[in-house]
Amino acid sequence: MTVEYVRPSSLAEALSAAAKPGARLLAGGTDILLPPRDGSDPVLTLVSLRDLAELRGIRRDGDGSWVLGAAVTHDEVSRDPAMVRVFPALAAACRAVGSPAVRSVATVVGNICTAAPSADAAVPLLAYGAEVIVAAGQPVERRIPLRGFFTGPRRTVLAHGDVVTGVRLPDPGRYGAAFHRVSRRRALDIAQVCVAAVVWIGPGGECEDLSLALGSVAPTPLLVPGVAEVARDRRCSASLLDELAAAAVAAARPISDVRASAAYRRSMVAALTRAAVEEAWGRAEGRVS
Amino acid sequence: MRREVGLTVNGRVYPVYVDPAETLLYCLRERLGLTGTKEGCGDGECGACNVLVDGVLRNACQTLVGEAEGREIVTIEGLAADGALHPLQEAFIATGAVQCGFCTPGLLMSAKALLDRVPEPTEPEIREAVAGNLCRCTGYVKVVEAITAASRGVIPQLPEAGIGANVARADALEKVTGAALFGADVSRPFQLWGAVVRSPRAHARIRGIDAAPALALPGVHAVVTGAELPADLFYGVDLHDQQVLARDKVRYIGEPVALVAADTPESAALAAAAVALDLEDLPEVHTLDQALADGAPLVHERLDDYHAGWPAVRYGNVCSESFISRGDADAAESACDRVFTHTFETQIVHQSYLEPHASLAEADARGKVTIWTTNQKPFAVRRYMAHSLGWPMTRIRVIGMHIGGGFGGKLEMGLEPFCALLALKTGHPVKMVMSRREEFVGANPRHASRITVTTGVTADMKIVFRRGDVLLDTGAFSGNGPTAVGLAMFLLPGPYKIDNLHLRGRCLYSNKPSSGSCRGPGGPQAVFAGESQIDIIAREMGWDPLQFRLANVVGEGDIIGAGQRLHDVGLRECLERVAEEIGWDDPKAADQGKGLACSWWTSGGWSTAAQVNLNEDGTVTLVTGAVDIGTGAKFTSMPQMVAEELRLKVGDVIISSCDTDSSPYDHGDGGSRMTYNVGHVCRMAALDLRSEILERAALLAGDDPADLELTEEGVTAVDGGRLVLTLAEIAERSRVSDQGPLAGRASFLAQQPACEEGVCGGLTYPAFLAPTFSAQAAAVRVDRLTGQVTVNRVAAAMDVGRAINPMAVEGQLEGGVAMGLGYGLMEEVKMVEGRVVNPDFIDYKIPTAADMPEVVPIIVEEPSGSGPHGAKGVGEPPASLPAAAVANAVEDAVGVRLRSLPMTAEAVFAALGGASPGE
Ligand SMILES: Cc1cc2nc3c(=O)[nH]c(=O)nc-3n(C[C@H](O)[C@H](O)[C@H](O)COP(=O)(O)OP(=O)(O)OC[C@H]3O[C@@H](n4cnc5c(N)ncnc54)[C@H](O)[C@@H]3O)c2cc1C
Ligand code: FES
Ligand code: FES
Repeated sequence: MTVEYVRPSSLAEALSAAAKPGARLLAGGTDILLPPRDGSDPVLTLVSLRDLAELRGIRRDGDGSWVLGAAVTHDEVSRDPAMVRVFPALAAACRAVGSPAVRSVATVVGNICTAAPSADAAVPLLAYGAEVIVAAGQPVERRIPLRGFFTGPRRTVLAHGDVVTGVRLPDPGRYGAAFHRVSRRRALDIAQVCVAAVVWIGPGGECEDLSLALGSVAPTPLLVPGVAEVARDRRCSASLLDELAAAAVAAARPISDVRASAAYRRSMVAALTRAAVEEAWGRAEGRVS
Repeated sequence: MRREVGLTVNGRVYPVYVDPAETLLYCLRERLGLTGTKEGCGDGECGACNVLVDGVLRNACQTLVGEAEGREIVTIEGLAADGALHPLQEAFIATGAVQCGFCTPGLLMSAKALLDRVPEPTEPEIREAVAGNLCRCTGYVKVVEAITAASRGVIPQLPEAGIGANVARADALEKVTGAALFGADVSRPFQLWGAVVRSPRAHARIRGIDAAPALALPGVHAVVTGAELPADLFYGVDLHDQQVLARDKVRYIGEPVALVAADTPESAALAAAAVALDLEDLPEVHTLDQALADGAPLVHERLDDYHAGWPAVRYGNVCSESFISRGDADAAESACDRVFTHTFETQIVHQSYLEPHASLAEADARGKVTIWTTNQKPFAVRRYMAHSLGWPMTRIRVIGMHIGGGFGGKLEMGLEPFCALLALKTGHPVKMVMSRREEFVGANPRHASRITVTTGVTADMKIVFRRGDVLLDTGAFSGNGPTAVGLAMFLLPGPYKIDNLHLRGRCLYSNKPSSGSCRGPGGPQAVFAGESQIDIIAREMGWDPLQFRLANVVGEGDIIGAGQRLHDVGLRECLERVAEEIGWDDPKAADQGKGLACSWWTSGGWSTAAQVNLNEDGTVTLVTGAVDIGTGAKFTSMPQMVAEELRLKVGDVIISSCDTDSSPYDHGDGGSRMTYNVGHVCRMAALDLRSEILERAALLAGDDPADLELTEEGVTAVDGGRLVLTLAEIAERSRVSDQGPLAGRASFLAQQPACEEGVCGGLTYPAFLAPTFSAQAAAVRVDRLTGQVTVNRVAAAMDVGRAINPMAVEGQLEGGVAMGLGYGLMEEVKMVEGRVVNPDFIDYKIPTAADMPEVVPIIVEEPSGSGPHGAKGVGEPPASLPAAAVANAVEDAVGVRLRSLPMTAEAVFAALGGASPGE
């Protein structure tokens, strides 16, 4: 069965090509070109996003939020000085993906649209409260909070024909974040578990807000519920770390697979949560660079 | 849909008429003939296909032609500009960063992308930048060195000749430019693509095979099934238990049952999937215990009927049983102060050479087939094909291509008969390349093992006896299993003086892919068991593990193995030097530890012959049937030794490629035999030519041969150094007028040392030739939170007799350490009911550059009496020690002992008592 390749030169063309039956968008191609999984829908047409200038680059909007275009690669994010400074957990996650030749073409948007349970970039994006910007043929774009975006392993709320034009990250202000990950190799490996922690603290060192997201431990990347309430107004302490770790473990629904057992994953959720929150806290207080 | 696409590759525009949805990799290789870009996995997981597109590093296997259209593509062929090598290419040659060379083009492209961005990268930056380029040969040590050297503009100058000199590999230039042709790089006009139909069941009777649905597909030319092949012909390494295609039943998931040939790789794959198999399941054998159980289902019902090339003991699912028994272990037990028994288990690992199996066959008008292939034993392929197909050797010609790593995995017959059968049936040349997935299900990985070892010691640190029971799971066919068991039995007692030894080994069939040879078959399993127990004993007895070893190691004249007497033993020095290098007696920080392991191994034997021809201009041609799997013996030490005897430079030696029609016989590249054995025969042939040259010069010049000698100028008078004739003059005059051309010849079969009568039985390989000795020390840190073991440093020493090319020897040590660390820490072919569940390079994990510690290679030279210039075999042993050294270091660091491999973070975490919260 041959696949057709089309390369629209405008978003409008891309939207109409993407709407055809069997059409799929092609960004970096590092997921979509892998051998099809059993039971996945056959791809009849690949719609290349290569020539759509409007999807490129990282920009800052008037309200201070940041928008990563759908063509932005993991490599761009992990090297962009503003990203490294403002969103260190995202930069770290992007830098952990695959290998240099994967990162140089693989996009952040492709990462979330694939919706693998192990999607590294999705985890800090969840913690940062990102929104997915979708063009769907109408003049007005839709914004979907990432926390409501994933519906199952490799499934999202996107409808056939939707084109994601980018992800929007609210201006985080003064805060701290960290991304921790375990895998069996230091490169070219999918996470066994990854955790992103984002912490905002007040002038007295007490927590104003906190979010925690997990990867590879549930059918989708996951935002841990209720942690802001646990942490609010408290300082960083061993007991707080334990409570947050317990909340993370309670939220995780890991399976045993070829990469790790469920039991090990649960243990790592606890261990990485503690480490990530502590590091994020340190950054928020300006103790850790 | 095909259309005209303009591809700009290396500055040149190629208009191609292709489907833009085709991969750039396929287009470059198969349409533009730019085969320097390699396919190691096809799924973005190895980096062998790295190219630059508009300056961006990409995996060409995951880049569609349409995505590269109109952009500047740079491939390895475009790296050298205006006829001058890129500094990276020069540095790769000069530092010995090239071994098999299959990963080299991709590595060079990654390195170029790095230097374009960061002109003087740090070591961590280099490791991160090449972490997507898997290399199985080098351990990345010299790769990092090369990139550093190129970026700093300090590229070493290498000597052109000499024994013990770091002469550049003769094939390095073609490998850094992408010109070297590997198995998949040859093509023939009108070729078809073949594919294998593999069994989906682990054990089943074949009731029928229906080829019609496959033949009905477009572009399909032929299907071949086992029913078309001779029913009663078998082949095998030692035990002839295998047929080219399964006939009556299938014995593992992945076993070849039929072949198809079609116009394109995709149509061949679709056709293979369309062949309908009617299978009736049989009870399956998946574990050692199931294989040994009373009334177990038999994997081979007619075991006794198979031809065996040695006095084989076999029964049930045991395809070979053997023993070594010296002294009286039972009686010795009473003399011991303590006796220890432990059981160790190891996993199946894959050789993971970066180049998948690839072959191309073409039949001529008389039905003779020529096969271009990437096999470690081209002559054995011809023999196995003759045995299994009943063809005379006059109908089979095997040509050895560059081999992109073998490590034993390409010692057995692979795709060759498949291509040959399809070529004969279709009348077209047929090419076949295994996918990385097929490599994991359809090749010959390392045996899983269970080894129980009992050791008795006295309070004065003496090992009194050792008993061992070695079980190897060989899978569906014996492969190299009988030999691997024997080798494990030799290694299990360690390089120690033990007067009372009782070892039993059994090799068991199961319904798994057939295990074969993997770098030091049986070695890592036995060293892990034996050397782990040495440390356990030392700890229990309160002894220093180094001192305990030193108190028992063998020396000159000691008896070892099945009763052979040792000579030229450099073991003590190996141990002492690694201990010093690792800072054995230095204090250690919390959660850090050090571990040792030592072992011994054989230099490989087996028949070989060589010829050295004097060319008309005074250069020579070395004609050998040897191939090179990447170690470089054929491209370093062999020509170095020939050049040495003829007073030439290595560049004056033409090195022939292997062609069974025209090369003298050679057993094949494996078993650490190349420098020791093939090197010896090359040197003998060079010496033969040298005496012929002197005689001919004497005849031509009217001198007495005794008055003449060979020098760098040519033949000169012993007395006074007057130049009598140059080599070119001798060659040319011989050719035109006197006696004809000159050639030296030699044949060699190393004699196995004698071992005691009655001491062993059932062994295929009863003594070690010119034994080598090794020791390694590892320093590790264990993260208690995750269980992750980080190896900080490994010192690897080996008594190599004489390092003909020290840079090449270091490369073997470094690459062996990487392979051994992968074995110890991360690699495992995982199977569920006989089905491989991680058949790719993402979930089968070999170390990347980012995973490798600092490796310190240490060459110890205790010359062997029999090897050329004292050389011993080097290739295999370095991979056998790291797992044991790391296991010992882990216990030193955190006090837990792992008795099975791999020592993943998860396994260490569990051993540390890490429980999951809420469990
Ligand atoms: C060797 C290797 C290693 C990897 N390692 C990691 C890893 O460590 N961590 C990790 O998270 N991932 C990893 N991946 C997966 C992959 O690289 C990432 O998920 C990557 O971010 C996908 O991006 P892409 O641009 O290549 O997506 P593509 O493959 O081009 O597309 C992915 C999916 O998203 C859809 N899509 C793409 N763009 C849009 C859009 N604008 N709008 C709507 N839908 C869109 C596509 O149709 C497709 O279904 C690895 C992959 C490989 C091959
Ligand atoms: S062949 Fe492309 S990454 Fe392996
Ligand atoms: S030299 Fe790297 S794989 Fe062989």
